[in-house]
Amino acid sequence: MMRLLNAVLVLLLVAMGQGAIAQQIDPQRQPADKLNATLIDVMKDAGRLGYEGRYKKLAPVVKEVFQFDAIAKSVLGKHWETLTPSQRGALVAKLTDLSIATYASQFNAYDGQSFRYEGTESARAGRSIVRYTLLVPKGEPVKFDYIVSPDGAKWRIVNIVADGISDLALKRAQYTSIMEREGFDSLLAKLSQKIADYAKK
Amino acid sequence: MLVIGVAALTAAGALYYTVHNLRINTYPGDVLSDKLPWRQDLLAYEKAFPQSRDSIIIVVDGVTPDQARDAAARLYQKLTTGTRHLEWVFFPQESRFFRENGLLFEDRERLDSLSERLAQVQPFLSEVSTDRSLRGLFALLGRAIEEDRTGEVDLGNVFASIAAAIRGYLQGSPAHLSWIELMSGKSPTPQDRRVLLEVMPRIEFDSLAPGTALTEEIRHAIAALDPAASGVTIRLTGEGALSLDELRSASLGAQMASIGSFLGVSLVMLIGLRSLWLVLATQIALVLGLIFTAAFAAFALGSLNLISVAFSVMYIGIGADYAIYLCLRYRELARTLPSHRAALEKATRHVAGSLEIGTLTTAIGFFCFVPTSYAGVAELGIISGVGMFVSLVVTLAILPALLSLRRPVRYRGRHPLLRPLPRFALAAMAIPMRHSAAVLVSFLALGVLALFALRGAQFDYNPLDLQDPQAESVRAFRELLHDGSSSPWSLAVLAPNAEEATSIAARLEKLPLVAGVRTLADFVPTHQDEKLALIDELALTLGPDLNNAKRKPEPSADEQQNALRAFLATLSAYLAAHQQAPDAAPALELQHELERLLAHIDALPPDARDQALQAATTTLLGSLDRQLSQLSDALRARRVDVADLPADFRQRWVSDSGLYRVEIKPREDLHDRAAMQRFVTEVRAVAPHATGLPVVYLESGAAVVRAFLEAFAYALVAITVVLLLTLERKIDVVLVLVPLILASLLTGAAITVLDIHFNFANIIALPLVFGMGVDNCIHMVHRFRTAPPADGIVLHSSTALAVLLSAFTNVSAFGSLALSVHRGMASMGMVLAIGILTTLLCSLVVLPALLSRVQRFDSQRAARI
Repeated sequence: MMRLLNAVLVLLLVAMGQGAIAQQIDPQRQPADKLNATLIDVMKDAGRLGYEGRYKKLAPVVKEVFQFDAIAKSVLGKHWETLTPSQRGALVAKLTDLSIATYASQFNAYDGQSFRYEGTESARAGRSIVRYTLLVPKGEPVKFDYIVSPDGAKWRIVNIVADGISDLALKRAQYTSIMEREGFDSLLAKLSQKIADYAKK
Repeated sequence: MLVIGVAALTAAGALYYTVHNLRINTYPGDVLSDKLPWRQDLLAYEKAFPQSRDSIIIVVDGVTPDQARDAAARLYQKLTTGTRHLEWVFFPQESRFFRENGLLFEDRERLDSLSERLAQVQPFLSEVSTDRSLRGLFALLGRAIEEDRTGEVDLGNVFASIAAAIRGYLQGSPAHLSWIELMSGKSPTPQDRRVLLEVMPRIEFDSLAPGTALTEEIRHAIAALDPAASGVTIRLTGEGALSLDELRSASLGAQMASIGSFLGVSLVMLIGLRSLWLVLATQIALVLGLIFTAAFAAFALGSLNLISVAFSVMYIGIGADYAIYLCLRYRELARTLPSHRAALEKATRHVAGSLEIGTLTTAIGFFCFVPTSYAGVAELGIISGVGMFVSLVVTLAILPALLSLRRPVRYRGRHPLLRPLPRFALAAMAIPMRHSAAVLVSFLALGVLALFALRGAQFDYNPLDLQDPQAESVRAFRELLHDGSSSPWSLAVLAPNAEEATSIAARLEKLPLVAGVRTLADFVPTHQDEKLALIDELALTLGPDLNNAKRKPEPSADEQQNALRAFLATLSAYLAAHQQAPDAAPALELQHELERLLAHIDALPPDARDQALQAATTTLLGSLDRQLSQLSDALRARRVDVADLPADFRQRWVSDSGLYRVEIKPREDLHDRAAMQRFVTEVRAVAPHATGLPVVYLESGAAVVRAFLEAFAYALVAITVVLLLTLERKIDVVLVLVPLILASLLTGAAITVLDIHFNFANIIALPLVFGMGVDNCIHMVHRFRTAPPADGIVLHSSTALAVLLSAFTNVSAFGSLALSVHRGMASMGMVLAIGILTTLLCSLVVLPALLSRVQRFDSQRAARI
């Protein structure tokens, strides 16, 4: 019996060690792991924190792990070229704000959820895909694929694909059509409206 | 008896030899001399790029771009595995290089708008790729509607496309929902629905008809795909298929015309000779002569070309002629001479004199093409010219031998057409002689008019105009020509290096009649850094699992139907709430079509219901797989260079010896001759050594017209010499030639006025008619000099009757050529028939008028003496 326990312990240790090594050689995982951990924390403490509290807690992490200037550029496509530097700055800030607000408003209760790491693959342009599954005890699991890109010494998230639906694609489809129909100011106004709506909920 | 036995044996041997040795050569390209400068350009080009020669183009047209590409890709698979008669199949779109790097060839703006569009449909693609069923599609659409409460995303296009596909399905249309259209957001052009593959037959020297086995093989592969079921048509064209179809229509035309002319000639003879036995004997003699001539062709040339195939009709027409002269004279003599043997001998002797000259002159007409640079017609000249001598021997040796076997036609009196005629008929026949001055003046005027009309004569050097316009290859080819950018008739220039190629291309590109110029450099995409960055973004936006996500289990029929119903409910609710939404109209349309689809499925028994659901799934999702895999391949684009291009592709642009090909596409439809002329002239002003089929056609047209004029001149000189040597009275040479020259003028004028253009096939008719017409005139003059008719009316003689009969036999022989589906042969038949009729007119009206002038002149001179 002891022998068996020992064997299990050894196995566990080896597994943990490998996990640790894997984390060391997998810097791609870091931003996603950090975001996921923060999201779980925020959910667990959702009631006490309230929207404002969740927003405050998420803001530094979201700002750190996402590469919003790259995201803004991808979202607007050719329209990006038409913006002035100050407009670009304003859009990046607004997108950052919107992301934090979205997380703060949607991850608002804990029901035993947890993220399971599935693996890392390399992708085009030096990027990597880091795959997770969000396990929901009372519901269907949700696949979360983070696409991370090297930014200086670190890796940062440039897109999230949830259950196959690409966040960039959704944003691009919506934002470019607003840009084309109504222009940049209207886009900013609509984003502000969305953020305000999240805050109200 | 001996003669007949020997003839029959020889004929049997000749027939055996011919069947085993005579081929039909479809290669019209080699019929002109290689010394011409443009031929050298062409030869240099073909040496550097042999693949540009004689390939077969497979034209795949689908109701949607998806179905066309799918059929083409599947055909490509079939053709590249397990075919025996193929040298290569060229379909770069399916090569890994173009599948993966295709997006680099789009311009940046297009790439950007494509990215935008794909971002719009990404959620759909991702969902549907995991559940490629009605359930997946409609569950997704339902969610899209529900999530889009504010009506921000315009689903109008998607609704409209799906509604149209369902409507098509209910109406039995084979069209699938086009995912290419859905993904690109662009409505497809006819060019998008067309895919071209190129195939090169393996050269098989032991085959009588190269390419036949290959086309069989291709057609077999096509049949296995059952393209009609998916609304795809697959046709074969290109030079390879055109020449096969041409061979088919030409040899069919020649066979039909041979049979037609044989029957026509027999009928005319039966009317003219009034004796079954004479006709039968003539027919036997004709068949024998035909076999000998074919054997000669097999022995001397080995092959017939598309023009010389017509020799059989020529032979029947002219051979029958000779037989008629003999038979009529024999008939006439049998009436007065006691023994039929004596009649036969006398007839043969009498006819021999003029037949020998006639044969010589006709053969000269044929042989005159031999020294010219147009080998296609030269061969017809050789075969038919020799055929004339065969005919002479058959007529003077074998035919009398046959006729001697049996007592002739029981004497039935004078030939009905030669019996004493009513006064008015004789008066009519006497007109040309009695009113000779008036006749001559009016014909002179006619000749002058004809000369003016001839100035408008045109030569149609477009070989497509010679072919059966209904042939599949011809129709497909004309469609390709019509759309200049895919025109198989382009020009090419060879450049010694890449820089030179680019600089020539830059100069040619500026020309207004040039649609586009391409060189190898054009297949190295420009602005690759920016484009690759755009593709990086696109890949990022589309996410990692476009085509490899785990699939959900297949839905049951009930699940499919429930998904349809659930979506219908969602759509109806959406419509009720958003009547003013921009996509309300297409949504309403979709609602209507879905209701009809459900009603249709509900009305079916269970088995049929499953099938109908399956078919509806295919209609809506059948094209998805290939598109998704194409898209995920396209996201693998990488920086490319010339060296990365597939070898078979690169070889088309740079030769093994390092020569670069510059390809020039026309803006206009080159089926229009004037457009072809303009295009070639404009390009050659910049690049004098430009070559390609348009140059070949124009130049060979010019060469053939030159050859024709030479031949005509040779014929005129040679015939004049022969006449001067053989005719006793030199004035007779003029008597023979004047009606003939007039007849040639009138023929040319009639062709111009009737808008039958001269072409590669019918251009030979004029010298030919000239050669044959000499015959008629010689017979008439001969008769007038040696045995003038008692009543002095030269038209009322067996000779005039023979001229008339032989003209009608010829017209019936050549007239049947005019019915050929092969346009070139048909026009040859038309021109020959017109030529014979004008010759007949001149020899029966103008010649008697001339004779009467000469007679008057002679008698005046005699009176003076």
